[in-house]
Amino acid sequence: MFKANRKKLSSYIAILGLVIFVFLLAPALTDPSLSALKLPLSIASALGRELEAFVFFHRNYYQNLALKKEAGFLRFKLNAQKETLLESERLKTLLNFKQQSPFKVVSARVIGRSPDGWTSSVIIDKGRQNGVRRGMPVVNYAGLIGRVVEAGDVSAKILLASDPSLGVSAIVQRSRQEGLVSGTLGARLMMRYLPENPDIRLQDTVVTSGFNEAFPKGIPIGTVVDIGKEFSGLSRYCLIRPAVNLANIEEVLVVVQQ
Amino acid sequence: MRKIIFFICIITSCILQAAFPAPLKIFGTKPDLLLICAISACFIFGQGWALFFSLTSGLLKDILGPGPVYSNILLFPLWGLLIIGFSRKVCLDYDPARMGAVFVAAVLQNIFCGSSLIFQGKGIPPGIFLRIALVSSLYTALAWPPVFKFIQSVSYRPPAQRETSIQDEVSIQDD
Repeated sequence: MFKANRKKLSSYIAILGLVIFVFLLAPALTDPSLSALKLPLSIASALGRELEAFVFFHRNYYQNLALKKEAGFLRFKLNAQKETLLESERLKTLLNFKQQSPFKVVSARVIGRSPDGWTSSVIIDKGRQNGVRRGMPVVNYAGLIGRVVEAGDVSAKILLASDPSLGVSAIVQRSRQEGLVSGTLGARLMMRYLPENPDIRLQDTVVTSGFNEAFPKGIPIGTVVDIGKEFSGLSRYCLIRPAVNLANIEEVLVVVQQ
Repeated sequence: MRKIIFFICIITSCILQAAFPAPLKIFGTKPDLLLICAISACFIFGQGWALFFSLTSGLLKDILGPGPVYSNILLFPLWGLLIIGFSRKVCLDYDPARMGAVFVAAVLQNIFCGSSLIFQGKGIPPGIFLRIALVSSLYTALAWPPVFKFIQSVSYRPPAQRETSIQDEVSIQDD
């Protein structure tokens, strides 16, 4: 009986040892595994996109019509604004303002998403070989998307703004009210650590503050849709509708140089 | 050969998990295909291989996630071992019973992940917590029968050639 127990115990120890061994080995296996999975993931995500386009054809058709209408209207407005822009540029030159250098970005395609609902991340098809490094901010034409948390040779993982682990220092564009924006795993972001009477109104635009080096200043995060009181009653929070639909992003821009 | 096929099934599930089609999502959640693979291994293979495959599934899920905590490597084999131990005490030969086991494992997995986030001080609204914990687990349990049937059909071998699996071990013990 003692021998049998000893055998059982040794097998349990072996199992535990194996699990711990794989646990310790996991970080080293991530990069080669993702490199190997890059092609099948690209194919699978392309097939998924095609399936989505097929299923939501009707919705996409009407969305396309609405967007065309909006694009026409915006083009008209843009032409009207051009004159103002030229005037502004002339005045800036006169005042000898230093022109802000534009961001240098790398365009990447989303090939995979987080495997469960407890994290909000995506895998992109660009990595260290393309200049992508850990900690770089990720945006698109509409606003902030997230930050690179892991960069492999040919792929990288991006933690989205909707993940609770990502905190972004932000300000309200109108009133310059500061706060910390983090994700909720849902469709809304949360701006925290606001004073008792914050100068925030519904539909205010929230942008990155640029107070730390993680994110450049002025990137749109979203618009305020609700203001509430924290459970502790000491401070307030506001809910933000993200400028980017984080659930359906397909292409992103990694800011490789600010 | 069927172990290789099962391994290919795990890789396919891993790819599907990362590139899950949006139209198939329910309330923004998707089934945990890798957990299904890990538990399927417990019903198809013996303890050793079940452990190996659940470890592989956990590792792949962690590789796809943003990290840096690799919890699935530890949790998947744990659920596998618990189901193997449980199936020795209680008959899990029927699909509803197995679905129940998958649901319980998925709920425990989700509660563990959600709770760890809350304990880290990351605020998750209760509605979102419940949606992910329950809807996702339910979806995983509902996706279990077709996925398991598919895995079983592709990695099937006639009973005469099969090596001892949990069910066989249980029946031997009963005899």
